[in-house]
Amino acid sequence: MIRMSHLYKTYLKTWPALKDINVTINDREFLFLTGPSGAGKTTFLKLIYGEERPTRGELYVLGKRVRKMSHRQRALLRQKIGVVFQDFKLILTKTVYENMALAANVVGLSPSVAHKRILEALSDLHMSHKIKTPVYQLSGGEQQRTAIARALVTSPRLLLADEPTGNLDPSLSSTIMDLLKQINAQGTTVIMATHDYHLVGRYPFRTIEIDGGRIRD
Amino acid sequence: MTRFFFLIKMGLKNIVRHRRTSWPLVLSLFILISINLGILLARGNINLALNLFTSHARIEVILEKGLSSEAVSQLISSLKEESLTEIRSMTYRDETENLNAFASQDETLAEAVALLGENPLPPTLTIQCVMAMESLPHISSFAQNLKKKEGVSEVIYPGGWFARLYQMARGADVFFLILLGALFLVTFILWVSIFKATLYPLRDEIEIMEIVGGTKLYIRTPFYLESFFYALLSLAGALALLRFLFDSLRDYFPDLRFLTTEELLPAGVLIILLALLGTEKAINRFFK
Repeated sequence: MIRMSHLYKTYLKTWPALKDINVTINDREFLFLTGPSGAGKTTFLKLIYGEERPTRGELYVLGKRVRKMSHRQRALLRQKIGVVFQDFKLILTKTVYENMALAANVVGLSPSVAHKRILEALSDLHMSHKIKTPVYQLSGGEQQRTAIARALVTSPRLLLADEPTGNLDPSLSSTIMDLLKQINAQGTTVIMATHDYHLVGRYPFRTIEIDGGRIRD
Repeated sequence: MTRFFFLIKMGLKNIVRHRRTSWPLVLSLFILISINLGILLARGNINLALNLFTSHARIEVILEKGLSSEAVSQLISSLKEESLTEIRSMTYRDETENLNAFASQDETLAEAVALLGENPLPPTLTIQCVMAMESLPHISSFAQNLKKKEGVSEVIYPGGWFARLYQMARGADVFFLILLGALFLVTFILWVSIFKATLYPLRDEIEIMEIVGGTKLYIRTPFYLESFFYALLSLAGALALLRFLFDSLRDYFPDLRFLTTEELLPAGVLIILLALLGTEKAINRFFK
């Protein structure tokens, strides 16, 4: 699914964010990416969904070489990846439905299929009653569930979650984790970045720890 | 197709959402387009006036006094043989006709002519021709040859004056073109700056569209549609203003002509292209 080989990412030519990363992530795997703040977790995820390009080394995502991809190729790759952020990245002025419809339209789903998928995703996440609510009226937990629902509406093969529980209280964090587990059980590869070691300890998934831009053995 | 309609819907929504912030864009574009089209209009009418003026140019050939009618016929035949396409007509007037024409200008002249014992005026040949810029060299050599013809005493040919007029017109044309180019450049820069400011509050939205996999074309399309609408609106406003001013001026100058389709079509296409390119440049700033 994902292969990183001697991968380096340096910002402003002098600030190394990731150094010599060698990782293979298998299909249908649930992977925790841990490490302190500023360790390079977000950069790791950004490289996978193509927001950043590797400075050196090789990176293959869903069988595609990311390094020399054009903007269009990266966009097409992203259509197969769902991304969930700590700050949700939702369009606040649009409703829950409109946010999800945008993602569905980008990947070219017909309105009827998109509608069906949106209803299913919202039902799975217990958000059906908020379908017409503008995002700015939602609580943090609801916004995070909307962000996950948006990521799922396109049926991605890979779900990246960058500190999805970072802004949530412990009970909501558990709910979100259960959701991600459920998504993984349905066949989606999940990579979740978090610095919450207690949360990581509660689940039996493979963990990669990044510190100072390197993977800690 | 459904994606396309979705993007059109987004574009229309953008127009509604930006109705309060887009007016400086539309207004500035309206002003600049009005000036640009005004220059085009002025240029077209100057050229029209010049063409009208030069199409009535003439060469006056003063013939020798006492020239026989056979000699005049021969001269006219020889000129016709040269078959210069710029010549529209040739009018011969003998001494008496010239004197009568002179006397008929006013009463004092008529009285003065009556006192003359002998007609001092020579016969003349008036050659009406079209002095377009490209035909000036032909007409000039034709006039030079005329001087050498038998029976011709003098040729009054305003070629030098026309050449200067054309030089001035060409200079004005270059000036207009430079001015138009500069104004189009200003329009473009202004459009990019204002559109960038309009897009700034939407930068997160653009980022989100990128994250969910929107291609550049997909993200740009609603904004293209929006700027196309603004460009059309500004163009329509500028045309309406020009038409109003033109109609007011035509009461005083009935020969004025409005912009032709050949002038308007490229200008309109250029303005819309400029708006679309400006939009593209403004959005590129927000792509990662």
